[in-house]
Amino acid sequence: MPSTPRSNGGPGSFWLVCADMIRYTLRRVGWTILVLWAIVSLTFVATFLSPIDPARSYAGLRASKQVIAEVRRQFGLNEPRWVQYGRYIERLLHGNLGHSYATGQSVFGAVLGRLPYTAELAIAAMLVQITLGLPLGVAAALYRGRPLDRGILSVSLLGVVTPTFVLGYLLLYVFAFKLAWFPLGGTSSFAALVLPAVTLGVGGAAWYTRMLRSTVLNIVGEDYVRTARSRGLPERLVIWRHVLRNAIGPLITMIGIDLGVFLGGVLVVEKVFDWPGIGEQAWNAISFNDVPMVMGTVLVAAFFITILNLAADLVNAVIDPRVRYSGTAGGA
Amino acid sequence: MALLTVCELRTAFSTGSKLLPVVRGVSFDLERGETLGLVGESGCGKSVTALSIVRLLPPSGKIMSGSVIYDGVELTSASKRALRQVRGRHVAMVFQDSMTSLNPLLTVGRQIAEGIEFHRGSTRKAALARAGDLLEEVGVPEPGRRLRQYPHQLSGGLRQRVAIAAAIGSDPELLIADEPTTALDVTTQAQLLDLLKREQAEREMATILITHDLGVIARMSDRVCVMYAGRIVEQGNVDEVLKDSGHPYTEGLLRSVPRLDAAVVGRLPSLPGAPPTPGALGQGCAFAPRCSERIGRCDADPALEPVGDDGHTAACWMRGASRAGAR
Amino acid sequence: MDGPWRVAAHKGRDYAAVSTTVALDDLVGPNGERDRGYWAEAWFELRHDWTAMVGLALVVALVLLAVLAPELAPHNPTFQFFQGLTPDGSPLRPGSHSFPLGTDGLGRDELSRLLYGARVSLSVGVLANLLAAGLGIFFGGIAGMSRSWLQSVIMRAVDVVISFPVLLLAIALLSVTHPSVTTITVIIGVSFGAYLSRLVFTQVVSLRERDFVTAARTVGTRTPWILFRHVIPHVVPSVIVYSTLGVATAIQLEAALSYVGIGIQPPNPSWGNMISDGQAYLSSDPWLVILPGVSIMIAMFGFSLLGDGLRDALDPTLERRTRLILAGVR
Repeated sequence: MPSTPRSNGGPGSFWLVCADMIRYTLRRVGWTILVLWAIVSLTFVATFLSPIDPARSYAGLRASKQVIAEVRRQFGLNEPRWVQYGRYIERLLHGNLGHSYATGQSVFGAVLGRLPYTAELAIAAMLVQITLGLPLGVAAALYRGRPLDRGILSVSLLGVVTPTFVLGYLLLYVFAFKLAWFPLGGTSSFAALVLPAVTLGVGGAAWYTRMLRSTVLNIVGEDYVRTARSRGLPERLVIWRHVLRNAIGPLITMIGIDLGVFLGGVLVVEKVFDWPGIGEQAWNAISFNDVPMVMGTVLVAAFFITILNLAADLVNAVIDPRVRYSGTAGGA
Repeated sequence: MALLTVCELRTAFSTGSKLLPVVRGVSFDLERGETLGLVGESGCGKSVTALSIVRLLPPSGKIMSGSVIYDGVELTSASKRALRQVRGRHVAMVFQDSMTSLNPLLTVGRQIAEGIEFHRGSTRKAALARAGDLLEEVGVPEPGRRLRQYPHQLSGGLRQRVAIAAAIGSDPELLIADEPTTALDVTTQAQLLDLLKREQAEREMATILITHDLGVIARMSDRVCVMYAGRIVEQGNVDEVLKDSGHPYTEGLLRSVPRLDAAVVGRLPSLPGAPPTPGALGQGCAFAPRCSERIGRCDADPALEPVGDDGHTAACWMRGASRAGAR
Repeated sequence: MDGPWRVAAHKGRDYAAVSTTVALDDLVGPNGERDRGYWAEAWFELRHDWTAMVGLALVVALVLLAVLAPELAPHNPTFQFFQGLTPDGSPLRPGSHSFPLGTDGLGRDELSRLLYGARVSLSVGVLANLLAAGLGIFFGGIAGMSRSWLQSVIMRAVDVVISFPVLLLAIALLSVTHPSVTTITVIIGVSFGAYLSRLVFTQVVSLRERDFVTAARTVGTRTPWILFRHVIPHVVPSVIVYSTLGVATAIQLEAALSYVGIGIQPPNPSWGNMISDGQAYLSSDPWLVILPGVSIMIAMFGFSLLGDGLRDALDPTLERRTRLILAGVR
């Protein structure tokens, strides 16, 4: 009979989990900062590789030599590279991403201004992706080989091979132009959100479906699922507690990255549907060779992806003990 | 009435277009509280037999024919529901690889408690308390701390103890242990076997012990079935079979085990050749190609015939009652 | 028990490194009997998978079209024909003798443009993924076998590359360099290479713990040799699968880049910029958008089917599981 008192050994004592999570979080955040620095530096290097003379672009094509020289001096473009780099980092830390060649406004301000629209689209598209992809993927795996599985696989394949702009135009043509169920673009109403969200979401949903199917199939063949069944647990419980819980990891990582990509502005969809988001702005900037705007957008996008990747990893660390214990030695 | 009666069990795997017979007519009985050893080389079908009993075969495996009667219930044709009532509660399993047999995302305590929660209807808290008791019973030090740990944090020996604790948690009448100690070092192996023996005695649990190690069989079992190429080639009390075996295969296995008390003379004898793959089985005794005592009659499949007393049977034309006739 | 032993001659040394059977041969039963061999077996399974064969057929057809484009194209794809436009300046409908698939808004032959577009798409797709596979195996393998600091450095560099969404990375780089097939290929190749590095890395890290690696080390085999001779062969199948699927993605990516205007520059045809040019005629001559759009989809479809089929043939987990059970390994 046990004489020593012990705790009830719950799902991993809360405080222990906290301690490990903090350790893991600090490590991950540290690396993330490093990654962000590398991204920022690479972007800096890229701007220098540009054959476009920023001073000339800013001053305008017909500016005289003196004006250009003045612009150069004003922007400190004559300084040595590493000084410019230092200034660049400093400005970034203050949230200054430079100024657009075309409009002269602050890139940061411009991007921030459009962010809410892109965020709206991003969240809507992500909802579509998850609500479509998750159940279909799991269903396909659980009914492997049967008609349902084959059907889901075929449809998802179609979703994967259809480029977003093709799908966008198709939906626009059929549902907005011909059937007039939805507006032809813009952000006039909630209905205007539907088509772009669906366009963006369907492709991703197709990917999620296939990926989840593959993951679930792998897990269902694992030994611990067999052990759970050998304990006489009902199939529903086995699926829920053992299969899905283990399948969710890779999905969370994908969701994180996708959300990051969406928040960076998905050019093509925004352009097709006239959605005034970050992506559309970047598109225009590209046509005008507005390097600061393009670079600024890229930076913002990379930033979001990195941050959301971090968030996804943290969520995974909560779910999967092997992630947060990486490095710690085992028991006796 | 025997606790478990397996009769002419045949299981096959389908790979692509082929149907490969892996278990080709296995029959044995198991009484309450008895330990039966199922011994044979890799690939002889012993694990598949065990999985077939509780119908835990992978999707490509199918029970082709035969019957498995547990406590009066026919398991091969039982509904999923009936099967789930038997699994875990009455028949529990312990698998070879404890690392992959435990869910890496759940604590050890949770996994032990799972079965108790479900079969006894206990609350989570009560089940976890019981899990702690079980861990102590199976000899895990600091059970309270261990309950909250995850499988990858434990050593192989500890994990296997956890697996055993989880299995016996619902007080099953039959424990099927599939190579429970094969992946462990000899010392841990000995400890674990002692644990199993103790648990079995205390709980009056019948056990099917699957292994390729004759030493384990000798130590643990009351009776033994020797399997080869999907069939049982010899069956009987452990002492009988090991002392006075009725089948050349068993003899060969015994001879190839090095002995401390014998002088070291030349090479360790081994059986020539290798067991046939399931797809390459022909008519006649499956062991015949490797057998030093084969005769013409071996082209026909020998049935299990009595050899000594006490239900000791062997499937060989050279042994058993036909012996007199062959001479 | 006699197991199949293989003696591997160690390059440059005069002793033989004995290794236990490379784990791939686990598929073989312990009696030493070999079935066809891993690759032959995989080909056998692929051959019997009809969807994979459809994919293979499509891929082969596309490759042939792309390679033979100069021979097959009736005209120069960039030449604007005076007779390629109707009197009021619209493109010609398909079906005429000299312009089988019609012309585009500038009087250029659509069929020729499609064929040369295939050339572009396939070049970029296949070459980028070959590059990615090479980079992935190289960096992923080295990172997987290395000690902590080298491993961290490589994998963090990989993380940095992955953090840029490929489209935006391409845009960023292409706005500062001159876009061409080469630059696009390199950019996509490096980007995909980062993903493949991750994949290879994860696999190598777990393979590193296997017995055959320990065995090789025990006889003094050097790590690079272990990596390339023993470990990489296990990684190759999944690299093949993901590279094939990657061709589909690369084709879409190149099309998107050309569509946006920073990929293949006019007048050179790419399916992407053909769609972009054709947008204006969507209501009157929709096939200018449909033809290249469908071409993209067919190409992606073919490579996806093939990739899926390869995945099933090279790593049929359920099949392998069965074989392993039969061989008594499990």
